Amino acid sequence: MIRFIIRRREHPIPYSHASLISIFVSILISLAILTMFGINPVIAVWEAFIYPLISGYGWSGVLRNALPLLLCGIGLIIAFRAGVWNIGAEGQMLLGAIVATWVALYFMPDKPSIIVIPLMFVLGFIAGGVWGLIAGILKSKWNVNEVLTTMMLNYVAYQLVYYLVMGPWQDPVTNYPVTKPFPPNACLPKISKTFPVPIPTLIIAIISALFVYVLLFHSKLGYEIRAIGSNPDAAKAYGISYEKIVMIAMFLSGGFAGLAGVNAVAGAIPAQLRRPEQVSRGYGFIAILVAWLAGLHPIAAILTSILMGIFFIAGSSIEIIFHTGVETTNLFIGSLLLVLSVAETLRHYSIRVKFTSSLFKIGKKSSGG
Amino acid sequence: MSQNLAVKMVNITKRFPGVVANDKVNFELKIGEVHALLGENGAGKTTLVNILCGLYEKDSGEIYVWGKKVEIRSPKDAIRLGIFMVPQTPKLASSLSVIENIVIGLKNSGIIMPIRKIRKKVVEIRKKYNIIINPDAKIYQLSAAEQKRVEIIKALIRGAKILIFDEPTATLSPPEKQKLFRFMRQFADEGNSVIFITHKISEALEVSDRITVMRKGKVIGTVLTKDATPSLLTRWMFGTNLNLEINSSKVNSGKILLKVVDLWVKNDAKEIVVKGISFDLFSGEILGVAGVAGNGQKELVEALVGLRPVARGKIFVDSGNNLVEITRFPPKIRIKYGISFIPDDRIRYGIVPDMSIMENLLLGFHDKKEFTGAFLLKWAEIKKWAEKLVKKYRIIAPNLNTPAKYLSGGNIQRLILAREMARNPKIIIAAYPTLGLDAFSTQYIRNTLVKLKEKGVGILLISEDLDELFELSDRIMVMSDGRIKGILPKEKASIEIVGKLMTKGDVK
Amino acid sequence: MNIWALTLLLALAVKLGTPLLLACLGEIYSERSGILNLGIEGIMMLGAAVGFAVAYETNSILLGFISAAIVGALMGLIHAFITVDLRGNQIISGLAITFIGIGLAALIGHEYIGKPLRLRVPVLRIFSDVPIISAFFTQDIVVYFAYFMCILLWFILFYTRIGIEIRATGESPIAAEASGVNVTLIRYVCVMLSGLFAGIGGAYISLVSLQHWSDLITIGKGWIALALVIVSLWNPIYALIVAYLFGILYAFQVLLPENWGIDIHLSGILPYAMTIIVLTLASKLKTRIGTPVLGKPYIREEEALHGV
Repeated sequence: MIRFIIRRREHPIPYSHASLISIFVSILISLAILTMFGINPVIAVWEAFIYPLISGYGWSGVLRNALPLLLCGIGLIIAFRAGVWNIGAEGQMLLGAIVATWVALYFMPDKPSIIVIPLMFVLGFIAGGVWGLIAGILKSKWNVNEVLTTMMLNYVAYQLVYYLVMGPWQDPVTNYPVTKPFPPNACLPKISKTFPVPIPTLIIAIISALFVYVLLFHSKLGYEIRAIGSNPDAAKAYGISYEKIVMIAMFLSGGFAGLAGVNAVAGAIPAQLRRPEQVSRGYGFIAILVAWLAGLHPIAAILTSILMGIFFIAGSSIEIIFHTGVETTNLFIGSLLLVLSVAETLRHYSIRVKFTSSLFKIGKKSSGG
Repeated sequence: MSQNLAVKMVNITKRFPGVVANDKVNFELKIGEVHALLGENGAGKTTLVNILCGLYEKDSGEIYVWGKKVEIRSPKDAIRLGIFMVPQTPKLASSLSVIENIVIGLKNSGIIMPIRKIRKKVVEIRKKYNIIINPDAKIYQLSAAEQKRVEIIKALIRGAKILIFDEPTATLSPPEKQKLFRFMRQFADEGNSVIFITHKISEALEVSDRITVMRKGKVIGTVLTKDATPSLLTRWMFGTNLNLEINSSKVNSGKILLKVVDLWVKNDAKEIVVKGISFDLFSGEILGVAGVAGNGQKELVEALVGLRPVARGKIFVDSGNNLVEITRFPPKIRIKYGISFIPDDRIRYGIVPDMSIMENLLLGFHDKKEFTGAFLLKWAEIKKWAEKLVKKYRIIAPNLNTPAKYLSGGNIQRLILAREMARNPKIIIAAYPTLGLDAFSTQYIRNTLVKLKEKGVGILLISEDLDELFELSDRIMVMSDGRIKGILPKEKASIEIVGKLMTKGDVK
Repeated sequence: MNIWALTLLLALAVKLGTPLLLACLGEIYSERSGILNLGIEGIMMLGAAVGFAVAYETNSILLGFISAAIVGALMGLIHAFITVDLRGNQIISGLAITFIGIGLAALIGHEYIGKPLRLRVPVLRIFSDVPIISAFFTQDIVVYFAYFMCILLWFILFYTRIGIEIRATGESPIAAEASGVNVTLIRYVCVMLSGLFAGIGGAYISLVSLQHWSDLITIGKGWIALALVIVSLWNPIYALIVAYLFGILYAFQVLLPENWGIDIHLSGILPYAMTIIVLTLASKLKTRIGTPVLGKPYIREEEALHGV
């Protein structure tokens, strides 16, 4: 007979320990699954992780992935801190991308960069924000489950992009579902040809992370967001407006994802709108990991987004080398989420497994527990 | 081990983070006795019986039931041994009916619900013990007393031989309390056993055969009831002869601070539970609201504070020279008009448990000019102010950054009190403010309320503790079934009169 | 539109709604017991892939369905273990299952892309001359299986002791446990049921509806099923109605572009937009009493503590 004994710990395990252990365990799980499908784990680790990083070519890829992950991630941190489960960062990104494409190709095709690029980002933020706000309004006014609404809005956004790239915005010279490439004034300048990381995005992302940090911990609005997210009942009783906060949080959250969407088109090579899955690339979901591993802290998100960027490159490498598809990244996201789902509980409670005769701990060791 | 022992608990120890709830506790329950477990809140009584009922697991110690050593790991084990608890707050599924709640977990009752068999048994029990209940009513439609009856019937149908009542009288009117005591006596006389947990010396003396007193996790002593005296029990419970009396003077100035007119409020199930309530709250008085919980008090309080919409009626507040209607105002504005709220469910409505003490003190103050600039919070100022409050109200905690959830119940209430006092409120709505608190904190809160009243604050005090209401209130308003049955000045009120007004009229 | 055209539309609606209904039925039980299983989309995909692979290799549709059911139940078992015994966060664990399911499904389905399944699914025809009614009674046997399970699960939930125990567990696990109900066992069974039915629902798409496999085979049907659980107010009979109504939506989607010239991608928005609308309406209607409490891990000592 197996029994689980659950005890509250004297001192919870700090986030950083829990995050590191989670990552390690999930790597093991992913490698195990890959091995079952005939992929040699040692080669996988070498080719995917170690080689790209030490050879240097991997780092530009890491950053190109880390920046949108950071942007989406800090957006999600705002939402999750407000207690809203925003699963719709993919769709919010796509709306940002759609609006950026519109600005670049149809609204201001021949204005100089100094006008076009900031405009793309501003309108992209608003577009993503509005997309997120839809779910925010539904939740705050009628308590409609935001996991489902944001997920539905993802699918709507996918369909919108498909419609555009296969219909009115399709580049007339090709049969592929892509738009015309952006004119050069709408393409984001990169650091260098060999290190093609978009400069505006880099600046915006770092500033955004700092901004959100100040917002959450040093501003009145941030205080209200954290209170509503932590205990809406008490927060409401003492004057904080639940509706206002949920809507603002979702707008901001979608907005930052929208910025990532702008980067996804204007920072791409070549810069154009294409099939939705190639634009948002699952960033909206991986950003959930970025946010959680960072303990919902915007500055820590800088680190976790780089980490996830590394895993993204690793996943893509495995896909290319071993001819698997996007599956590998999905498996990795899944196993990390799996571990994380338990990690939060294990931080606060120790769980011991008792067989009728023997006794061994599977909870983490702590000084008091 | 003697043959007439139902239960013997030896050296029971149970720890929670930061506190030893049971410290080598020894307890014996004889067959055929009503045994009172007496102690103030936090003494460890509930912990001990929770271990006996399988809700908690002991850290060490032994339990013997009917002479045999047993391991009780879950409620199922306890039920199998004939041990049942009638909990302080009912553990029933609200949307299901009485019959459905009785049926769940019942062994040997087949897959298809045996309605007829259960109904027959309920009728038998009704005849034998005189417990009235409508089997098809949904739980959320029942009063607290009726829900207790359902718990009792559940236990009896499963063949309970040991019944544990955890603070049962808190939610009962005086006549219902007498009925319960009669039932306990009858049950024990049939050869069963009863453990009766209470923090009231008078009740322990009234119904039990023996009394065991616990304090701070330890058993202080066990005595035959006929040999016990109030002063002995007080000394055991508190360690000293505590004088718990309050001195308060009449200060009512005649100015109306809060006026409620024909208020109708719906509950979560969209039923009307506050039915046309009207009353005035004067400056310098404590208006006590008596009534068994579940008669609309919770919804009334929420409507007054702004957490629940009003179906019909108006609420007015004094604003200097005239009355302003605040019926549809959000909590934020009501706070500005001087309304302060001390909630009954402290953890849920009073604090943000994951936030620090300092951040909790800030609740409701976070947009005051001293604490915010255009956008940013001025943490340095906030910290100074918070430190002053912590010192003044003697909130015991490691430091200002400790998350509020690690505070004891008494300290949480002090935090809430400190924060609300800092608002300089004109009106305080206090719901069950001393519930679950130790005697020291309870005394502190009561004294604070009286002092505030003497300064001219108007206090609406909702409490199920009639003794507390009689001690503190200037007027007592009795609520039953969502209506006001009467408003009496303290001199005219007595337990009998109030008890009569509280019941819905179906007590036999 | 004449009555036979309507009948054809309804018949198509039933076919398209059946995977939704199956996933819905299982998830109703899971949520009624108090556990939210957001992994339905991933399990459906996995069921579709596994079912297709097994059916392709063994030439047996039945084995395909059975293997999909088993795999679904196993995924449910993982989710149950994490959320019930380890008290893990239900939302994150559910998302994890979704991703793992999608990933595994693509890995398994990889070599079957483009390969058609040439197996016949048995069809049962009753009342085939009666308009409207025949829409429901000239279907493959899996549809009849869905009808049967719908009624059976409804009966169990509301008229048997086990069903009451499930509902009590979802509403107040401490109350159920204090009465002697084995909360852990009930939750495990219910969550595994949600996986099992999601697996069968996914397999229906690859084995019956489309008879081939592709990466995007479920395109959000799992998420819609989750929304429909709420819209059906956790009642299997309402779920049937709601699932088939959405089936009509999908049927329109097939017909619209040809009849009314709307771009196929724009009409593709319809099911998702409709889901949001319907979900909003249902959220306004439902009261808090009677809705299961979801997302909260059940730790007996803490629940017992909060009673004081």
